[in-house]
Amino acid sequence: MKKGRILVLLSAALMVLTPIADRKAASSQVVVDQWEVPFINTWTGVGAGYGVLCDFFQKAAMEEINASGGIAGKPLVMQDLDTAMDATRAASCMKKAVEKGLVIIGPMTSLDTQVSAPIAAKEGVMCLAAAAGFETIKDSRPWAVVLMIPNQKRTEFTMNAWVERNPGIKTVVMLGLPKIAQWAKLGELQKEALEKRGVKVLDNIDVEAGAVDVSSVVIRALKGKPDGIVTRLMPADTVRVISALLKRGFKNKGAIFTHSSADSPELYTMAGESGNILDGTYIGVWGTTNETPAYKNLLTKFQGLKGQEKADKTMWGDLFYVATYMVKEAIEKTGATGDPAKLKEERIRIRDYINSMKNFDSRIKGPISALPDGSFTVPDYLGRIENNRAVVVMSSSEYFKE
Amino acid sequence: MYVENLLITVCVFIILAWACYLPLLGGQLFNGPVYCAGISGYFAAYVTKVLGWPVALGFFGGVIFSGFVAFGLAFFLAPLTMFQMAVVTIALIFIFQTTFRNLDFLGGVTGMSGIPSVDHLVVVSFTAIFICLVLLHRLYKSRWGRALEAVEADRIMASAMGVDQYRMSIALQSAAGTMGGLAGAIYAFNLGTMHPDIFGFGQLLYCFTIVFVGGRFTPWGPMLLAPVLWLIPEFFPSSIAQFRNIFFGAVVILCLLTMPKGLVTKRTVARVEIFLRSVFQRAH
Repeated sequence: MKKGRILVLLSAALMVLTPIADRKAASSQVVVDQWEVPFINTWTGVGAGYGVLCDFFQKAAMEEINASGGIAGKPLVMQDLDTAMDATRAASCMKKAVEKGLVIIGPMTSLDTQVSAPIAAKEGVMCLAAAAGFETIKDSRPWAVVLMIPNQKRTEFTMNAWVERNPGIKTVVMLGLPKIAQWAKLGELQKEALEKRGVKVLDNIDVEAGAVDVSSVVIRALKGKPDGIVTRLMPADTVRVISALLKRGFKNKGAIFTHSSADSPELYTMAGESGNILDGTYIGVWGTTNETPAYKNLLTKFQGLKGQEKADKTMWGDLFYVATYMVKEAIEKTGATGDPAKLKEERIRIRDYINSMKNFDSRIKGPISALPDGSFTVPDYLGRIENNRAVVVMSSSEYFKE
Repeated sequence: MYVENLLITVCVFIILAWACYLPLLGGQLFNGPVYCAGISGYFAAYVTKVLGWPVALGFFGGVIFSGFVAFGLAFFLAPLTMFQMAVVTIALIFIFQTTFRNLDFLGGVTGMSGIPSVDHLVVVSFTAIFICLVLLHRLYKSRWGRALEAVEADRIMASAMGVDQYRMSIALQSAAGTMGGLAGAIYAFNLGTMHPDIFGFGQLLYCFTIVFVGGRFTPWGPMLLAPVLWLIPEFFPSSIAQFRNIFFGAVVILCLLTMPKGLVTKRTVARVEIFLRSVFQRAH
């Protein structure tokens, strides 16, 4: 009887102590003084405006992680690699990153991801192309993921949710920026989604970025008397086009849909200066107000950035915040040591961990899970602009009942 | 891998810059090398990835095909003046880009990835550089080279001296297109990806910056400047990365203001030749 009790006590003690011992062993196994993780982003060139904001969110996560003890007790430092939104340089950045990187955050843009993710896949390093289009990682699976649902699903959701709220829409004209290849693809998907619902796309008009006079494209858009308008433009161009549409007699504001690419403080500042002209229109929304302390903290920091003082929500660049926390969890949970001799094996463990994440606490976007195709269940939203602010009407999670 | 990639990329830019430099010798502003690079890259990518051709065949096929395209178009472009040709070939860059973007079998807007890799691409690239340099040097010293100089100096005078400018233009465009194709094929196999946005107007500006700042009168200028221009941003400290373009632009402006003929001129080359000859003689 005594022997039995002793055995039970011993096994209970073992059960309690083993995880502690394991944790200690795991932290003592780490052979690096710091975790140097490559971050491929765009600090210069055409996409620098977005890149600087993405960098802000990534660095915010890094600072938080380091302030709370780092990753497995070691600080996180970034190896910043600038693609300048140039395909050749993006490949060069990736080739540098795969030399020693355990896991890579980025690239930021779809073009950079398209070119460089296959390099990561070939070398067997996981890259978290957080904000890139889903199509860009298809050939690089399972070594690349994007932190948003595929364009096809997203487009289907926004178009359907918008048309459901405007049942009178039978014909549509689309206005898009032609130079960004991914947006051209998005235009095709929007057209497909609309035509599935029986909505006819009368015209798909190219609008150059920064065009001083948009009256000619607006006249062309209104020529066929469309019931609805869909735009895929930069924020400033969106305001100019919608303003011209309204001036030329397009009355139904609810029948105007703006793609989420324009959803930024710049859009609302310009619209506000023009007398809240976007009020009543619909918009695809990425960031949303969230009541978690992490989100509030991040938003306050974001508002501290020059030019973002009036921001009432973060922007899609916050996906890099989430990606950085994913890297932290993947390194800690897989027991990675940073030992160069085990690099290959640890890269595979990290890949498998990230690809099978379930209900990962994103801190700012609720729990998210990996989907088999390399995307994540990060929700996006259909918003309606009221008092020059996007008010969420429906989320993709609600629409797809995820 | 990283260093290898840097070397190959620099080789691509040198060849592409030489392809732009070659027609300039004959006073032609021909932007064809950029679209020829795209044509060759896409050709090589398609035949090796989709049709399963051997890599070597795809590589040379791309180069030859782009040469043929340049040759075919040259019959229409040859009679044009310098500025007409510049405008028409810029338009052709956009036409080819749009074509690539709209051809689904070439991957459309998302481009083509998963192009098979080439072993020893560094060796291939340096061999290509060596061959191009020898050919350019031979051309420069030949009767054709002198004819080109005459056309560049005064077209009417050159015609009076019996230089057939139409045929010369066709030959120049074909050669430049083939060289551009060579650069494009190396690029495609190095990156493993082709995308419609790669060989566009930005690439053209970059190549002409290399040519004009490096020196457009000898092949040595582009050869020396291509690595410098490519490597400056690569090794620029990330903490001041946002000032990189200002620095880059300032260097270019300063060079062009102080040395309008470029960093390496004919006189520079002659001086270096004399210096090297004297060193060689002293050594013996």
